[in-house]
Amino acid sequence: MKKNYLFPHQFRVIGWVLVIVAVVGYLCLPEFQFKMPSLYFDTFFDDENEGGFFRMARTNSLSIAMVLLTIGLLFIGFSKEKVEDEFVHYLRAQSLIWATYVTAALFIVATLLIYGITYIYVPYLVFYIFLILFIMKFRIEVHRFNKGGAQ
Amino acid sequence: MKNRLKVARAEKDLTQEDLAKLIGVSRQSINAIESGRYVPSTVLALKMAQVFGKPVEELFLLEDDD
Repeated sequence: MKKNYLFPHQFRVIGWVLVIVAVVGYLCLPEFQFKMPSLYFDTFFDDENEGGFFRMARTNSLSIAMVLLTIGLLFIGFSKEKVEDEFVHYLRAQSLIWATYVTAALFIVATLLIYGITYIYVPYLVFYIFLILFIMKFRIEVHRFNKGGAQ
Repeated sequence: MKNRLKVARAEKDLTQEDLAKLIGVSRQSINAIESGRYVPSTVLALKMAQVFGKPVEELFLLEDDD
């Protein structure tokens, strides 16, 4: 019952720093590229024609930004509150359920309406939209109860 | 579920903040419980009963639709 999977409270600040670094970093250096070890599962993207399953491949700043953004959003959404009690857990669970439904609805609409190669962006975006919706909903709920009924 | 926390608090002259500190939750949680928007766990209910020196049934009461 005491067990939870949350990060310490201070991680929320680290999360915001990571998100800002990811966004600003990508906007400042969109063309930055470097090589890192990669797995090749098919030859469709084999623009260098080297062959082999495991080798160095070009990676760009978008990949790094996506990794930082993912970690940052997780830290923001899943750090403990100052007082992390069962009521906060309840609000967190409700917000997660809400965010799941809204994201699912957006996913369905996007799947029906978006046609062609543009659709490859949908799965990536859906994941970030889910985390962002959850964070927004949860913060609004916490804020609502922070305000309500001061005594 | 109804509750008589507000009355019990008044009798003991405790604020929501005081009670929250005594049982290790936030003031917002006490507020949500008092206003009936959140039903506390058994552990929390027992802790409150301990603070007020009353049985749980005197603080929390079942309603017909529970």
